[in-house]
Amino acid sequence: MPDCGSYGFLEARYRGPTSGLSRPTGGLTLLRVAVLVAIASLVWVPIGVAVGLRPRLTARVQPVAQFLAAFPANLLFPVFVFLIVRFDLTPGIWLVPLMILGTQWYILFNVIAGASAFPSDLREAATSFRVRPWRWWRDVMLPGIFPYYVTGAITASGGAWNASIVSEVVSWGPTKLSAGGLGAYIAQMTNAGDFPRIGLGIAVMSVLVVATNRLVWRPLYAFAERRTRLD
Amino acid sequence: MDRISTQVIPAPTIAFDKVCMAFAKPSGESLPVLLNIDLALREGEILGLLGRSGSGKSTLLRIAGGLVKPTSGQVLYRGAPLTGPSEGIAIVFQTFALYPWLTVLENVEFGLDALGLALDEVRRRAMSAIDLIGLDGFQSAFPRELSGGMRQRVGFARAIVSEPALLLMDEPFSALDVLTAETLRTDFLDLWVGHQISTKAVLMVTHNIEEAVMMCDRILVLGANPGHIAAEIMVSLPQPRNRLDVSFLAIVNDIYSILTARMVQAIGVHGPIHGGLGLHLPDVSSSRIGGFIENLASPLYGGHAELAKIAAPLGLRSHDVLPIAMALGILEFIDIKDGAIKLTAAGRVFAQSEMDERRRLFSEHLICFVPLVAHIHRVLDEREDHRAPRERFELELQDHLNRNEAEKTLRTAIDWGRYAELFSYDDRTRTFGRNDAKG
Repeated sequence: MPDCGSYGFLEARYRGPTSGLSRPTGGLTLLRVAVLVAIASLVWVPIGVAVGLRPRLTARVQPVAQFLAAFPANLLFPVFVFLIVRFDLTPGIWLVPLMILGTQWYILFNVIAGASAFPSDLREAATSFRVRPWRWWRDVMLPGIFPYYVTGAITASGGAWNASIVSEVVSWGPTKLSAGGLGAYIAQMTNAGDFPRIGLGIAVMSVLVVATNRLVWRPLYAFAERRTRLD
Repeated sequence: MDRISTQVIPAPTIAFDKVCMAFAKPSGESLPVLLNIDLALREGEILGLLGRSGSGKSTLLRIAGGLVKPTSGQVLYRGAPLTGPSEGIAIVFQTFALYPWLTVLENVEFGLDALGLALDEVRRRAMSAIDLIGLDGFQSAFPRELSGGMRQRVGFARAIVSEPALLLMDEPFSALDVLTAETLRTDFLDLWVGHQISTKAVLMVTHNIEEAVMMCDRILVLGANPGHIAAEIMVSLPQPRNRLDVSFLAIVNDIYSILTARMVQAIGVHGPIHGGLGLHLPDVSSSRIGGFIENLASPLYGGHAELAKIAAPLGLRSHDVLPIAMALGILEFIDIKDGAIKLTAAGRVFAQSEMDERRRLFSEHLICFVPLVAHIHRVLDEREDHRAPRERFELELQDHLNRNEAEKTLRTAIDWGRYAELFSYDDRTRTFGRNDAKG
């Protein structure tokens, strides 16, 4: 793992040994969460809209999405470990998708819910005025599902943070892979039984999650609420 | 183009040729909502589609807009088959259907998107539509900042901004208060009569008789179950029209007569003799029924009245009277004939009775003349625990009526049955219970 201290302000208060967290662990995991939520959104928003606008399909897909969200994704981790070892892949990249494996479904089913709750008169108006696809996404559907999407994305990113603890370090039998990052740090310190460092790791994670919620999601949610309200 | 002279009859803007429409019922069978509709909308004309709920008039408008494909038959727009939403056709929606996240200007520009114009041309045309429709100064407002009347103005501006040849209006004034609706109607008629909009023809759906007579050159009265054209009325009065004008009132009265005659017929056809579970019950509460009978029995009317003239003195809007009259007709408390109503013997007894006696009379008539209520009553009687889930009756009803109608009819049946103390209904558990069975 590369070494370039980035938690000086925290470590100043941390009186114990400083080796271990002087790495860009939190930043790395934050970047991963952001990229994963972005990719999951690009995939699931169009699919969720397509499903949500078709009531019959919604009735079939929605329970499946909810089941997948509840399914313990870590049961599938060994498969990834096997594939990464087998094809000699870089753990720092290929372990990362595991973080969002279980929580991406929150984006899907919230988007489905949003699209199926989209007012039918607004849909009809868009159809009758024959708006072009780009405008349809920009001015009709995306603003319409936005509050639902934000709810899903908050849950998905929060879940991804939690999942990082079990997915940035993965073992199967004697094989042990680490992708680095804050999750890996917490997992390793837990293994070592180093309570002060576990505490530090969790504190950093909490600060990062709360900060993202405050600085990104909450303003977005407030904006969505304000814009989509009619009265 | 002169709209008034019809020396040379131009090709119809839109024409329906034997259009039928059916929806699938939960049971899989098809429920016809429109049957063999033939109509031609000529240039220069405002055509009204008048009918009560369930007559398929909104579906008809959506077919004309290319939003719904008919099950069979053909729609021709300016001579060519209509296969979907088309350039030159724009809709004004009952619910306004404005995008809350777009400003007034953006909502109006929305109507131009399909034309693919240059940005400055889009802006110029949107601004002139906003100007024309009386929204000047509100360009940057969001819909939530506007009153209902102003919102519908945005709806109109969005529809006319693309200079459509055909304007479809789906009960455009029914969500507005009386005064606002009247202002908007007058403003629209001014634009239309003054040729300030390029629209060639208007198709308007309404359930308000006076509104239809106020605005339309021709009115098609739709009958229900399935929707069909029951009558055609020409309105050749010059604009602007006056509601108090004798000839205006005469036309309103005529339409009342047609509607009530059809109503009586409908009651006859779907009545108790045919065990008609699917008898559509108008959305009229039991308290309204009582009040109406009392009024009709009062010396002012002496037990009979012309439908067209009874509304105002009772503080009702004219189109509110019809459902009440229909309810009373179904219950055989009044006779309806040629647009006039008369209390039956039972109706007179009801008017003179005290509360308990009224209740008894009402419940007898319910059992006799409303098959749905009788059916619920019988089922509750037969069942050991004297309870039944609402869903059971809902599904039975949906074999005769569409979902929306079934829901409304059941709601009315519940209200009437409760008043008559024939059964109770618990909305939390959605179950009916016999009145003596606690629940």
